[in-house]
Amino acid sequence: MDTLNLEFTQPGDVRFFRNAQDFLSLELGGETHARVQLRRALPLTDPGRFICVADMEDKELAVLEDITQLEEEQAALVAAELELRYYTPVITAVHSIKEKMGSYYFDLSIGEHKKNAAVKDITKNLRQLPGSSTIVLTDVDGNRYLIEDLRVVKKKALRLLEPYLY
Amino acid sequence: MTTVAFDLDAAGKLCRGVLTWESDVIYADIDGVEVFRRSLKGVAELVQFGDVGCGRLELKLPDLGNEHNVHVCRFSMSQVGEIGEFCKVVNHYLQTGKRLNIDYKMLQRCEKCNRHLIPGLSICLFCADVKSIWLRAIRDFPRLKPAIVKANVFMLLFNLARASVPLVIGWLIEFVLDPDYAAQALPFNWTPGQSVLIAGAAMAVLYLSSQFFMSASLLAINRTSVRHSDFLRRKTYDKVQQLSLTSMSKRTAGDLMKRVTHDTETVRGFIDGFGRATLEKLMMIVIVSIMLFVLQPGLALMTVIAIPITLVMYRQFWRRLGLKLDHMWRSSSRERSLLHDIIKGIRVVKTFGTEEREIEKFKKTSWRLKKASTGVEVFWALLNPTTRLAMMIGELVVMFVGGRLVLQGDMRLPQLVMFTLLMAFLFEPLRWMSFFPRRLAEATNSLLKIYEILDEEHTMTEAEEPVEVPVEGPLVFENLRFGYVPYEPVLKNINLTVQPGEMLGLVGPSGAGKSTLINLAMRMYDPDGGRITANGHDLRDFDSAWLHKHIGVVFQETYLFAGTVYENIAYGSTDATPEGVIRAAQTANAHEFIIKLPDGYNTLVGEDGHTLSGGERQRVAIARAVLRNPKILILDEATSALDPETEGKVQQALERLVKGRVTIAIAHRLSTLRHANRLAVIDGGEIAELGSHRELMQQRGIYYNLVKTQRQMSKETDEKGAIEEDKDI
Repeated sequence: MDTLNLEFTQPGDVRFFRNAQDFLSLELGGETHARVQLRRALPLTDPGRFICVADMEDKELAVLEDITQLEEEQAALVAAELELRYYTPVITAVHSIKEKMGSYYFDLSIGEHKKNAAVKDITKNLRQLPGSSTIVLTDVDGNRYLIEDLRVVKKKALRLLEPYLY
Repeated sequence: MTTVAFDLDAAGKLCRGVLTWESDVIYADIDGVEVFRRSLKGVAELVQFGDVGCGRLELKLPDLGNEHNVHVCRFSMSQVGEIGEFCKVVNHYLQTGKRLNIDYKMLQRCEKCNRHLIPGLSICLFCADVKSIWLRAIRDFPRLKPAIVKANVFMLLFNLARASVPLVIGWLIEFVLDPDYAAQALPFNWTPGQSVLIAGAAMAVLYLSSQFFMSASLLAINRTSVRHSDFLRRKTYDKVQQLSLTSMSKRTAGDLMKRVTHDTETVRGFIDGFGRATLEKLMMIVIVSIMLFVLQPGLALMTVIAIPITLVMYRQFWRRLGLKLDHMWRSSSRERSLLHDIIKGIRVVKTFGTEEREIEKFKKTSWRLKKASTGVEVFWALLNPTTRLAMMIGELVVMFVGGRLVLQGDMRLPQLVMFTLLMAFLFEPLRWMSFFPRRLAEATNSLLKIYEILDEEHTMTEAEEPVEVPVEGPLVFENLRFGYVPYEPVLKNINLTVQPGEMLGLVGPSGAGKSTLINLAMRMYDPDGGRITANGHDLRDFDSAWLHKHIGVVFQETYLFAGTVYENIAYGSTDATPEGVIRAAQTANAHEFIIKLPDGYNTLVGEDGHTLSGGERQRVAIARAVLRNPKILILDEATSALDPETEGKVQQALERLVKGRVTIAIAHRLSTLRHANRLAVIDGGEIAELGSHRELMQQRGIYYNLVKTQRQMSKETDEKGAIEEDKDI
């Protein structure tokens, strides 16, 4: 069963820091990687766990089990980088959903900003994550918007979204 | 000055930013506050990095790694096209010193509302003008207009005949109920008995004529709509054949097929089905309203006022029902796809013993469909009686007011009967018409998709005065640059010359740009920079049909068209003779298996025909290439899917084929390229290494490592096979 045991990098073995150009760098096993990129294995269901660290040539250097296992300052650095790498704005209001010849046009608010989102295949691109009340909306550009908890959205948004939720 | 917008600040929050390139400086402002400024001096290029749902723009410095890049700005996916175009123009300037303008067509935004276009469409669905789309349909197919006019005239007559029946009924009642009135009103001294007969005959004539007019109307519109559909289908198909690979690669084969078949049929169905019927109902409403006003203006006004109210009520109900129906269709579609998935993968389900899990999954999906369907049925059950009740109330009001008018002597009883009979004609079409917006949208969408294909501009232009010299070597690639999207160059700075009689092998990892290079050599795309010449002439100076006629190609996947083996070998060679076809098959080592088939060269292949093995298909493809006797030959993984024995036969055929020609071959299996005079290693879109096998092995670079890896793999799987491969290479 050894082949199934995922080997995580020990939190103490890694040290992240920002280089002179403000890019995330990593010290691992006595070696310094001047610029690394972080990837979430489960970005929608477990964004804080199973974080893969790769160099700019996509070579995997480390796998972190849980960012909370890192020291506070290290965890903050990793969390901030992940936030930058994964842009999933949270929808604060749904003003309208208009159907035009089979495609859907959403008028949304992201905080104080208004945003239009064109959605092609609404069945695939407006989905509720299994066993949760989180909604992910993907528009034709590839933007992914989030409704973190459907249970607490305003009545109007719920009324507009409900017919399209499965 | 070139400017584009960006929309994320350094912390990844939405903002209003402007990126500007002016003289030799790039600067970025957020809400008017400058957040970045840098001279372009000493900058190698602008690089765009893609993250998830966003991207970054950085300046790359010469001869330094990515860690020394300079961060410029961040942006969401909404801005990725704009930033890409910005990169393209700045990088072009950095490389050539020449300024380009941003190609706004590439941005895929609506000029009117600035919304992003739905992929695959060049028209904004949000702003699409339904009227102009249908006017264009009439303009493009002039026969449509007279057919629509003719069909409408017959429809008008049909409606008049149908709406006249209640008048005759009313007339009949008059004679039966009030013989005195009848005696006074009847023309030509008809007796009431005669009048009843005449009224009966009139009704029969009206019924018959209404059916005749309906048939005539249907005939007029159906015949023309079928012709129109055929016209659209042919035009779309012709255009699909002319589209460049760039346009084709934007859409799937299924999508193009759907546009040729399904969309043209949807348009036809609307013109002679729902659209025609809606016009018919509309005419009926107008005719009946006029009749009601003639009969009793006061009562008619009360009735007609109810039309917009009823229509609005229906639309509201239907909007809600529409959402519920959508939900039900989506549930049904999910159930179907789940079923399809499970049945298709039933062997996996059985071997993994997950039947119970799949049953449970299906049960849940089925339950959701049941819930959605129940929702629709409940709504229907409530909607029908409610709307009927509304109509009944309307009828009751008319009866009440009309009854009072009769009692007061302001209206005759038969007139009231006529009035109520006509009222039924008035309300029945309203229900039908509430479907109209949805059906119109469906048909317009289909028409739009067809026009999009028809309006597609040719990305590759034909030379006005094409050169008429033989397409042959040397084939020269000069400073070639190409990318499918502006911000991702697939090939950069390619310089190569392939002489006649020379075989050049292309090697390198997947996605390095090898296939793109041969597609450019076949002029399936035009380069963004540099040029390719054959026999000293730019490929763009040849007529493309002439060019393709003189280039032979054998792909990894060989597609055989439905037809005989003979037809497949002769495909594309207009002057093929039986001798030539058999000779080509012999050269391709295909003759030996073809001749063993009961029908020989007449054997049917393709979808419904004889099944050929991979190696046999490949040899048919080589025979096809041989027959064309091309001076330039492209082999794209021509033997990769074959077993060693078959590969040997195909290799023999290829060796005969390449003599005296310019040959470019791609192969992952390096032993396949053992006869190549030179090998070019493509890595990251550039020629990383170029030389003979021996030279490249001495360099100990990428090629050396590839050979070593393949030898190692061969050793691990088959020691003996590896020794032989050593000898070969």
